Amino acid sequence: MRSDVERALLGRIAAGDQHALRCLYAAYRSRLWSYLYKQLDDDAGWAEELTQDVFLAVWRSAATYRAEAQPATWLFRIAHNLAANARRARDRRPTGERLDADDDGAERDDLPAGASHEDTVLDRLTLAAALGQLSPRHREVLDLAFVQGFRLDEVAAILDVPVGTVKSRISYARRALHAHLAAQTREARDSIQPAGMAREDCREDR
Amino acid sequence: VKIDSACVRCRDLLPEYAAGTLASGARAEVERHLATCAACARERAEWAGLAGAVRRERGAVTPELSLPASWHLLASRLAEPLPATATGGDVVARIGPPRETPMPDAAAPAAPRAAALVAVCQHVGGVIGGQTRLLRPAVWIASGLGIALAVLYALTLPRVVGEQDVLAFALPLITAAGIAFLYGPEVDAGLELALATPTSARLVLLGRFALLFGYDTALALGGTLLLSIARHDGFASLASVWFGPMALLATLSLALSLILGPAVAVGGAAALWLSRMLRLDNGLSLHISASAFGKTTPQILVLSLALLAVALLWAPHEERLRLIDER
Repeated sequence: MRSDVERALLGRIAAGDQHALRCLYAAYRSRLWSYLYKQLDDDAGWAEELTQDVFLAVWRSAATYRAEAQPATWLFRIAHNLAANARRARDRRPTGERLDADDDGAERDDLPAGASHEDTVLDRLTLAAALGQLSPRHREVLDLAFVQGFRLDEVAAILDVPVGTVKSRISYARRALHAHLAAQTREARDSIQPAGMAREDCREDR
Repeated sequence: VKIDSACVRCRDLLPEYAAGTLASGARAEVERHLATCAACARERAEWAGLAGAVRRERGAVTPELSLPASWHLLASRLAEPLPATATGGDVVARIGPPRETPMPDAAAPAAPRAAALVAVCQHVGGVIGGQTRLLRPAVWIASGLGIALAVLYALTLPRVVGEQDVLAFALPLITAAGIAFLYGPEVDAGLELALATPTSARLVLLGRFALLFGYDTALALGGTLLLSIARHDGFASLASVWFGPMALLATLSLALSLILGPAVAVGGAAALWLSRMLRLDNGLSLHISASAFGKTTPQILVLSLALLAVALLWAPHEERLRLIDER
């Protein structure tokens, strides 16, 4: 949807037009849900609830929307703030459920010997583990830039940080992922060399 | 491998090139450079691998609920009453419009600058106005009641005993106590929503502080006026007895409540105040002395402003208010 169409929609939402809200909802619900789902540790129900909260906030505050802002950026900014709030509230609860950290261990044996080709390095299983090693902040920048397709200046507006911060986070994320994957590749390679045989034997003994 | 300024420029653009969000001019520039530079081409492959991998790993998710079903849920919530702390109406709308980040290419001519200033003023006004009904009613009632009682008590005192001391003692303490609970304990639903919209936490806090401090000052000035008419005292000299200390204790309480929590703020402000105002004379008899803080002096006002600045600088670091990633 073009952003001038969306601005017109927001104008009608401000006037209390539920149909206009529904149009905006249909256009953005899926995108916002998938973004929130990833920010909320893959909790589908929670993502649904917060997606609705975003549109509830839009419904109540469309009158204060300023036309020079990109509607998409504005929506994601509200979503980012709601998700940050929700995560913080959960982390404050002492008994709050936390998803288990990725168990990395089981995946190494899948790597073939001497893995060095780019496609192999970015193997799916190890990649999931490597992404899990990143902080939520770095994952969020990757999500906004590569999954949601925002320009880096738009990502900066959503997160309310300078563009330089976004650039350094995304570069850090790339370096960290490559370091992590390279380390896993090395370990995998070592485990099939003679020095690694002892370890293999031990494993069978257990 | 030689890296020149063209490489630096190219690598700066590679993330967005890989994301496919680069404008066509910049994209062509990157492609021209990549054709001549093997090192940058390798970087591009890494970025492309990362972008594709992130999309694969984190992009392929869709909501479980169908669109009509989830819309039905949302529609039923549109008329939902607001959180308990709000008194009705429209919370988010009252919080204020989103803060805008300036567009990099905005070559703003001079004429719209006035309009921009008006817009900023409206924005700030909207934020402050928005906080009015979000503050807990108890804060308004308790402060108002406290100030009214202090003024009434001062009116009953014979002049020589010192109505000044009563005002100087009570007004700053009442204000400081109210300010300490500005941001409320954990369950301040209004504040949660306020902070979810893209308005700076600092502005929200400043708005709330200005509101309550203004409210207390207005009430106290009213009481002082009443007193000065009843007693034929000078209004300005009477007001200067409490205004400086009130500003100091209020900003101290604000800073303490943000940094250490409301309970510490009330305790700390009260302890400081009592230690300065009460004197132990001849064994155990206590004296209230208004002269302890020397009324309203430039120093006291400067100190108050400094405390306010500390509180505002601290605000985004505070756990409850840390909405936006630290830079």
